[in-house]
Amino acid sequence: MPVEDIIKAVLDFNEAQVVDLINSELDRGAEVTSLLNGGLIAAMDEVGRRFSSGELFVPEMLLAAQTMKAGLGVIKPVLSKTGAKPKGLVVIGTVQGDLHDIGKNLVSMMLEGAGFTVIDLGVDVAGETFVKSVQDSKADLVAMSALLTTTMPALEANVALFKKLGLGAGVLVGGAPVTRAFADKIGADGFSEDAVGAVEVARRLMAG
Amino acid sequence: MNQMTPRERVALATRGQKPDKLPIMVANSNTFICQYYGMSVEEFLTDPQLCTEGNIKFTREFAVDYNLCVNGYILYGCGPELGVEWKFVGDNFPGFVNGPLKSEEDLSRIEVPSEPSGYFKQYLEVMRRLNQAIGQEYHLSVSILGPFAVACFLRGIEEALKDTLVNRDFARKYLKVCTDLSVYFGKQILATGLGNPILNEIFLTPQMIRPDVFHELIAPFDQEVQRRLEPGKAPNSLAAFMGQPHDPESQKGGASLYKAFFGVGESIESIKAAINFRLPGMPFPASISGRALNSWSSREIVDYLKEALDFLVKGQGLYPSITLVSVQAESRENALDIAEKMNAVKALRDEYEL
Repeated sequence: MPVEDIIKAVLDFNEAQVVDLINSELDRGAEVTSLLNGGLIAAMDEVGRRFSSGELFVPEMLLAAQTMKAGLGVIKPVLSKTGAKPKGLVVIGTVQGDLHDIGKNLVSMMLEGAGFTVIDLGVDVAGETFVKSVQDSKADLVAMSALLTTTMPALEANVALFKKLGLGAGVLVGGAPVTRAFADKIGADGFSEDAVGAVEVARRLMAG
Repeated sequence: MNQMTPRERVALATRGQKPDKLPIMVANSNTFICQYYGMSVEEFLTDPQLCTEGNIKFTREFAVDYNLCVNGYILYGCGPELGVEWKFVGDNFPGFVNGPLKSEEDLSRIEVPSEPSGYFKQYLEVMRRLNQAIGQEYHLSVSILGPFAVACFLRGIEEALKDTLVNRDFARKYLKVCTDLSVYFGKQILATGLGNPILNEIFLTPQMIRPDVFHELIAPFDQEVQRRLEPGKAPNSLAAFMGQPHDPESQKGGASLYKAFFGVGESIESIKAAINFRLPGMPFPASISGRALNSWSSREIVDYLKEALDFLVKGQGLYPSITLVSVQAESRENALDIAEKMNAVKALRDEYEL
């Protein structure tokens, strides 16, 4: 089945094959959302499952996500013509004073792989920049990471700022020093220990 | 038992023999030193006298028997002089931004320096002074960047990780150059007289790379560094997290040891899972993570450590180090809170009967 072939190509990190398969299926008149959901999203869900069980590691996740993005590059223009909505719109960034990005990048890739549209603000992002981006894009969720205990206070300050302004977007936080207890204390809506969990949290928050 | 020096204490505990009291180990303390002793990050990175004084005060005041000290990635050798780009943000330690190794053509432009300069020169000078001042009394250790760590700074972490799977020929070529750089860093560090550096593959954790990829691709280069620095001079302590080649049980054990050392989800269960595995050159760790040190109360920290020590000492007959993996502070107020907790840990250690 074509979607199974797409899944296999993602797991094999075969960008050219993913692109070819998707193009062929679209030429045959296949439903673009089925290629996305049954192919690319299913592939990344499998990647996440294997990472959580210790079968795959960060390099495999990076390569799978890169391969998925190649496929998404073909799907996105077609999808936008159908009027199909993404699973949600997420603004993501590492907080001000923090330049670490690998964890944030993995979350960003996994969210895209799960069908979310992601606006990645990069690193060292001021609270006001998160606010402007969420307001301008009408994002559903804002995801913030802090990789240092010394930059964790920025998470708390940003959540307080968002509440003060009535931002409305759900807030996810994460990063090596961040705990669920800290996330609850600062009033975040969701917390995840890793990129795979972040997708589940995002899905849950979108489901209301 | 007579009072021992911290060095003696660490040596005995590492060998599994009974010290006068359990050693305290700290693996990272740079921002705390800056906030607590009132120096800027720039001063820490560029003023050898201030940096040395701060590290000495910290070691003595908090009785750090084993101090993996003078922390800061920019100090370890992959500085601007090698074409590595760093960014300073506010008064934080700089973060890595970009490396010069984009393609094979760039490889010929990467050379081992003829002499130390910049931040690495500062690192060496502080080591020299620290060793002269307290090196006989305390177990001082510093990091020698391992070849893969060097590669991550030259190539970028994500690219280097991907290369381990899909670009191995290029990876092997640049790892050879990185090995030469690692040997250079190690020789300069050993020349300061500081006797206990560790070969540090700082980016390799059990999730970051498949252990058998580490053993096949990276370990030979690490071993080459150790051979060229002379065996025993720079234990590759953190390679223990990768277990043994083609041995899933030991690799699972290595991953447990990683959790135990870094205090990932501090629990007696984590310690039990790691109990049969060791880091070369270090006692078994009873660890408190940076995030626990920041978020737990002194009472919670002491209660957990007491439970861990009772299990390890009384239950297993071991002499662990009380390991504070990451002592960090983002303000003076935060530093005072951390100091209070460290003093509580020190009091527990002093009172704990072996």
